[in-house]
Amino acid sequence: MGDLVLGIETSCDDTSVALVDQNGQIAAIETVSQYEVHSEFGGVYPELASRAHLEAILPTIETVMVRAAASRLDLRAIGVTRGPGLMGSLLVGLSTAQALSMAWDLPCYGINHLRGHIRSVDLEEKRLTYPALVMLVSGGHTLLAYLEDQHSYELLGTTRDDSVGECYDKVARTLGLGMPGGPAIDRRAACGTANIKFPRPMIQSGYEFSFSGLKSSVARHVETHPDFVIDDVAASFVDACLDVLGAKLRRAIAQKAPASLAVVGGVAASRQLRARMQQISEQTGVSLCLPPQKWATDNAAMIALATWDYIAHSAPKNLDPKPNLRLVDV
Amino acid sequence: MAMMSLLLQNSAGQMAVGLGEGDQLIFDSSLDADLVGLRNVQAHVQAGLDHSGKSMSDVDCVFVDIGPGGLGATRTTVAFANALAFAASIPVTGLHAFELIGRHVSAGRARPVVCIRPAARPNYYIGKFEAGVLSDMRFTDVNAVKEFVRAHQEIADFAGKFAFTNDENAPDEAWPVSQGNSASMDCFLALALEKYQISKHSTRVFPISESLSVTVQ
Ligand SMILES: [Zn+2]
Repeated sequence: MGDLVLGIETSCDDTSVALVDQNGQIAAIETVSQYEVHSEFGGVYPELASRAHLEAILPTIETVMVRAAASRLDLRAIGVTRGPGLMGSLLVGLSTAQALSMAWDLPCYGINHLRGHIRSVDLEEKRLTYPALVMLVSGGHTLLAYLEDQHSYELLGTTRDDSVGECYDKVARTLGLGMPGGPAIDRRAACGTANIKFPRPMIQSGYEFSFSGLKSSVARHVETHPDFVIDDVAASFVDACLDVLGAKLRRAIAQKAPASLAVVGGVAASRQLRARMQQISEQTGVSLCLPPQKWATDNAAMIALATWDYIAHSAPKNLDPKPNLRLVDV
Repeated sequence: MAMMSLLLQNSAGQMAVGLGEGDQLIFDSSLDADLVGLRNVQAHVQAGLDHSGKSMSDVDCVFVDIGPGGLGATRTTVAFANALAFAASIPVTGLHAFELIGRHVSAGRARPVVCIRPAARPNYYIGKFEAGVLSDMRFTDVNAVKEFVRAHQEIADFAGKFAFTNDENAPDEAWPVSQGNSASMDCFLALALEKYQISKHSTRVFPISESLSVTVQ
């Protein structure tokens, strides 16, 4: 029996394949970005995404197997994202994984992409100590989860509308900063002053998020203030976002008393966010872990690492696509 | 030993899997009440192997319906076929859906079969199957399709899926009825074996799909 899991991730617009061992060591990983395929549409176009996955997936698998000098005999199992994600994209990964598992006679697990993101904290190195509070912030997801141990996921709250990343992108567009919006906002915000009072949606209570109102009030401000200063608008917007995220985190820390705190997902690249998390960590004495940026975005290594949890639990091998899978679903 | 073929048909949105041994069809999932309507390709294939007492390593080649038709459904089986060919180092051959349904509906007769399937609205795929040959293959709008149908109404049979609204010009115009939107597995196997003889063996196939630039709505 081999000691590597072949992970396959095709939930959105990147085709990613990785070989990962039980300890999160990565034997090989390859991620093919579809950024150029979609850039002319100004967003991910599901039909194109699915077609691009179909073209990329086998060459990517081949590349990874060759790079790790691995054969079927080195594999313990296959893990493939089954949701949440785009239906057409999920299906390409799932069908591919099913054929491989049948031809190679290997078990195949359908993996929750959100759990993959959370497990990305421990790629290459064990970082998370339990109980842990994990915040996932990206273009596709915004959620706060509490993990009593590595295997018990409690969803504290998620967004009712836009994700944080979506909100960053839309504000970037409003400000004429182009795509991808997050880094642009981050850069401009670093040079500005947070002197505009944007709303802090749902800051007062609970763990649910809502960002569409904040996005709209930035747009309204820009419309009604022709002489607006981009850097100041960006800084004020980021400040509002971070106040909300920070307030929810502090609330969760007070209620759950976790041993560590992790931030994962694409928005975790934000320097301002990192600085704010550092501050919260110092003030509350909860250790902070920020995994390397390369594992923050969608990738198959995190799916492969999550697969080891499924193997350990003899989890059911559900291979039907679930575009709306929630964190608490297996 | 006779060649074992795995046959995958899904472009009509109804998953069907067959197994052939030489020119004999030994399994047809479209005849299995437990499998009809089930969209998981693995379930169909596994049932076929179990039913026939075979394993995946017995399969010598895979044939897959590459559309045109439902893109998501077609991609599901094409992805499976390609991955199987890759993992088992066997060839994969793509079969055009209009050759499949054209051959099925014509049933060896000389009368041409006009094949029509909806693409992203308001477009259609259209083609003519005659004497074993597919011609006039097009991706076009509803008006061009109606024109083609009118020109062939008296001289051809029709296959595929189409329902034209009569709201524009001819409220009383009677449109032909489709004689079928999928091929029988026997017909699939026969076409597959013919293609296997004449076509270059490949390791990967892709669905027939429209140029997406014209369909963004
Ligand atoms: Zn993601």
